[in-house]
Amino acid sequence: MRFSISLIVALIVLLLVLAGVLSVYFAVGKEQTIPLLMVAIANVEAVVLLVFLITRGVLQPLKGYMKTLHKVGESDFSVRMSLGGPKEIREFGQGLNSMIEKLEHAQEREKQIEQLKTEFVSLVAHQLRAPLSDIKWALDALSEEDLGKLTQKQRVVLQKTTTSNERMIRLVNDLLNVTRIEEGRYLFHRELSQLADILLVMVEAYKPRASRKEVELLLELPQKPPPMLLLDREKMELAVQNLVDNALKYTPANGRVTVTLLYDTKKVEVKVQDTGIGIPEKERQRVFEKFFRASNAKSKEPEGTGLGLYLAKNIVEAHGGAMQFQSKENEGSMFGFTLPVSK
Amino acid sequence: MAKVLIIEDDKFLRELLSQKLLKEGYEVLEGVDGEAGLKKITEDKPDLVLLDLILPGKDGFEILTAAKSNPETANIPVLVLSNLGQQEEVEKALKLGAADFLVKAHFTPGEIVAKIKTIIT
Repeated sequence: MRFSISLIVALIVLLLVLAGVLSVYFAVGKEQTIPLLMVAIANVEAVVLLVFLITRGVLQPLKGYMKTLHKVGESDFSVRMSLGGPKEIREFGQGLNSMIEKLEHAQEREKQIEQLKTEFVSLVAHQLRAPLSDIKWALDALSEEDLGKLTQKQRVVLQKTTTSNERMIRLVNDLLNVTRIEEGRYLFHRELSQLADILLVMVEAYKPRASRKEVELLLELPQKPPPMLLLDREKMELAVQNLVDNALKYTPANGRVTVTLLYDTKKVEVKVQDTGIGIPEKERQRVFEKFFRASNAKSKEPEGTGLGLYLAKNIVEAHGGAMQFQSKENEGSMFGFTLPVSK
Repeated sequence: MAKVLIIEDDKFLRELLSQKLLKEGYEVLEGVDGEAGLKKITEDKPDLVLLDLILPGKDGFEILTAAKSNPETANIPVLVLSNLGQQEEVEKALKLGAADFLVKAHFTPGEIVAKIKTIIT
């Protein structure tokens, strides 16, 4: 309804006048209608004047308030009502102004918190990464026997420590990435890449861990590689890494993890199938939530952040793709994604 | 023998790196802070610089800028090695002319040497 209030009021007045004239005409006849009409017109003039005054006094300032409120609605809290009209309307405006002021303060505080969060993240990045790098380099120097020959026992201990340290590094990286996603600063640099190469690299990297766990890790590539896709290679590696890492983590000894690459003219598809613990049915809709870990996963494998699938989903979706998964508790899970083939 | 300058304030990391480089047959120079590092770039003209970003005094970005704006040292490849690694920092370093940006927690000294080999052959 686009009629303004004053137009509606004017219409009602006009209708009332018409009704009045007609009823007077039928009640008293033609001769007496005219003098009565004169009185009526005088009354109508008074009404019109009253309407005019109300419009000026109340509606005009309210119109101004509406304009200001519109800006407030667009999160501009620097605006204030210009007060006018009768006392009640001015007080109403003052009330609105003090509310906007509160919103403005809240907005400033939110900005400060955002700033603090960013500073905190870079603090974490540097303060946590620095000692982790020291440890990584020291462990490497030891493992490479730069600092002297190692016994078999020492080698085993070193291997375990290195694995834990790598896990810590990944955790810090995951947290940093999630923060960047939240801040909308997770940027993608795409270039034509071969997804098959990414899978090869990631599966190779996980071979040692799979054999330590006595889990078979297989890669099934099509005879002819799929078309090249515009990918942020580093991030796509991270997405694949998270899927393979999860599959290995939740698959017990003598199990199998199969990474498959399929494609047709429209899409390229990656599937990571495991024979692991699976996901309980009622928890399935939450698997891509940040920090979510399935109850059976938590009890079997205490280490894990619940960030891997959240990150993978964000990365895949930023490439225009979609995640997919199937799972059966105690039988295994399949996590994968499809990416569109650009024409 | 190729000369590699390590600009890194952490003595421990500097030693681990230089040990690895010496073992691989490189000549190693060390700069313990920004000022000293920049001085060594201009005076010794190394074949490659390994540059940390957070340094006492002049930071790595300033050194990179100075090295790249001096025609005598502009062609020396600079490999940034840092605990930072946010996209903005990586992009800034590459824009300033760094040959590559390696996050310390992601590369072992051995892998860094392998990287160096691909840059100076």
